[in-house]
Amino acid sequence: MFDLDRWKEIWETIARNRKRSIMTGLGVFWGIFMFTVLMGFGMWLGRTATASLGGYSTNTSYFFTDQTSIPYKGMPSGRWWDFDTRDLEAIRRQVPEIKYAAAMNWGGRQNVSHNDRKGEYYLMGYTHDFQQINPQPLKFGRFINRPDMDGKRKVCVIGEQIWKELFPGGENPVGENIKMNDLYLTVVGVMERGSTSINIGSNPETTIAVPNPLVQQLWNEGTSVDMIVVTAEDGASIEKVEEQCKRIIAANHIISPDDKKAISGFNLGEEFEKLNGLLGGIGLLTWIVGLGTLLAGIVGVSNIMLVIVRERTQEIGVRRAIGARPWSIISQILSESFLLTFIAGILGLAAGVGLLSLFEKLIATSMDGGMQPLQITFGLGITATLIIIAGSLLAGIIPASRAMKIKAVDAIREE
Amino acid sequence: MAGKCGRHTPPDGGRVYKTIRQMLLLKDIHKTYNAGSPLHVLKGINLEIEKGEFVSIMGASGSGKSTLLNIMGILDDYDRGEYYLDGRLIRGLNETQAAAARNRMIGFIFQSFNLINYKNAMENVALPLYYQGVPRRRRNAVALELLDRLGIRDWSTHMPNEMSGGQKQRVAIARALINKPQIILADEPTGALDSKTSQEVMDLLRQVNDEGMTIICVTHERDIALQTDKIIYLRDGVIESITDTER
Repeated sequence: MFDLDRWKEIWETIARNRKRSIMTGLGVFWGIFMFTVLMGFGMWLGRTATASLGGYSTNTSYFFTDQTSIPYKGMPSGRWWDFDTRDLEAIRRQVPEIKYAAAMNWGGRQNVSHNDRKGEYYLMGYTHDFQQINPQPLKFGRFINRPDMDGKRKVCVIGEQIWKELFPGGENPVGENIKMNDLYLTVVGVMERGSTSINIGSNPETTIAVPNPLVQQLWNEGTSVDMIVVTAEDGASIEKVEEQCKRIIAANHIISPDDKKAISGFNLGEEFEKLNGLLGGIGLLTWIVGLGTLLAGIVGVSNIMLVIVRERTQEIGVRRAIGARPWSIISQILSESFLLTFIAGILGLAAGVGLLSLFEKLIATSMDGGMQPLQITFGLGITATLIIIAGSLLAGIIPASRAMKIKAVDAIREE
Repeated sequence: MAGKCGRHTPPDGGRVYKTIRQMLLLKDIHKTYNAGSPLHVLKGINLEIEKGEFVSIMGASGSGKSTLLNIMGILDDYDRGEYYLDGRLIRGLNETQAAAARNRMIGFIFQSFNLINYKNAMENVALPLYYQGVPRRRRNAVALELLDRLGIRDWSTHMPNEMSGGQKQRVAIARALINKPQIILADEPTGALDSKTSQEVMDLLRQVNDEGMTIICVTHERDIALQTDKIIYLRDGVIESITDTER
């Protein structure tokens, strides 16, 4: 098998029939090239989507209020209502599977200044548990904590973008005061953009986070809450927890337990599953199309090899007449097909990988960080190579068996 | 028995035919092709060719001369009879054995030269040795030496399409000689050449024969046949006559 002389002979046959060889290899080159590019993009899509969910616990549910849709216990349908801080306490108390429960209030866009710098940013009120549910990396300081909540302290955690704009010197802002309307807030931390690109409510980079009660007070909301977030204990079913929470909250607000519209729960696990399904579908499609392209390339090689075998009837006949054993002919055709396909495949793989890294550079420059590698994995590269090798041997089988049927007599007599 | 031909009629069966002088022995060879209706091409050929002979086979088309050549060249099998080549019974060989036997014992020369068009003269000549597993360097050296002997060493790196018919046939002769075969089978070796070149090729074959090589040449040209030692006439699948030429 590793007779150098034999491979030289095969290489010569390929190299000296350059046009024919290039035509043959082109199909496989194109097939593996397309396969690589397709798979690269498919995998990138998957990685990007997965990364955008990164850091989020998937057993988390978000609750929002809406108008009631069923009249209940004398209350009309179409009633507007809000969550309450008491709801948070009630579910914490009554649902043991809850790991964290946090509340959030929207504070709207606010004018904020520090010395001569000013800007308009989102104000968000969080309870301290929110950092547990949706961890936000901190550049400086800390997140809102329990004492901030209890004391309704006028403290805030600002987004990195705000820090850059209000503190252009890049100094540590912890302990500094910023002015929001006529309220002074003490900066206790700076939060960075996380790995995730899911924002609940606002972009953390341009958000001013304050203790939840502060927003309630600012807007004269009493104890009402805009959104409740619940994370179930590990292993507990978020769907079950969601159901329990909804029932408890509905009872608190005289809402029919059958009212599906009044409390909407948004469950990331569910969304994650949907996305996973979609990604799986895209992945499957990529594989089917990619493998199809590869197969087409291999069939193409097989076809052209068949034509070539016919074209070479005389040559094969002569080789047989002067003493080529049947196995020599079979192995020659197989080896030619193998070598051609292999070289074309490797070139196609290289070209595909090259194009992907070019795209990667192009896309990365237009994206502000967070770029996922736009490339096939090493394992897939190996798999593709193995597919090429198997395919190339397969491609040679029919032409080789056709070559076997050529009788020296017929070939020689052909004029 | 069909094909009575004087002193060339083989002795009766039962004897061991291996003698030093005897190169090729055909005993009552029959061959029928089954293409649609059966076609009885060879109807009992008896022939003995001695070592160092230069014979020609003549006959009208359809007389069976090509079939006979194919059987002698182990390119085709026969139905009945016995064929001994250099004392070895050639019968019922599988493709691999036949290939090996052709490779070791027979040199072919064809009308249309049948050189491989993407190999140069030297590589074409060396090809039979490739199938014997002779290393490249050595087989190329042997090929060059042969080309030198046949007077076309200068053309060793040329491709077939750069050579004249005569040169191509010289290359083909060199290829037929390189494995030091027992016999050379030439199928219309001058069929594609003009008369001057034909003569050169025949002279070359004569030269090879003078060095002791047994040559069997199928031709339909009388001039060519007359340059061999002996002419075997084939007619309707039997040997009609065998005549010694003037030479």
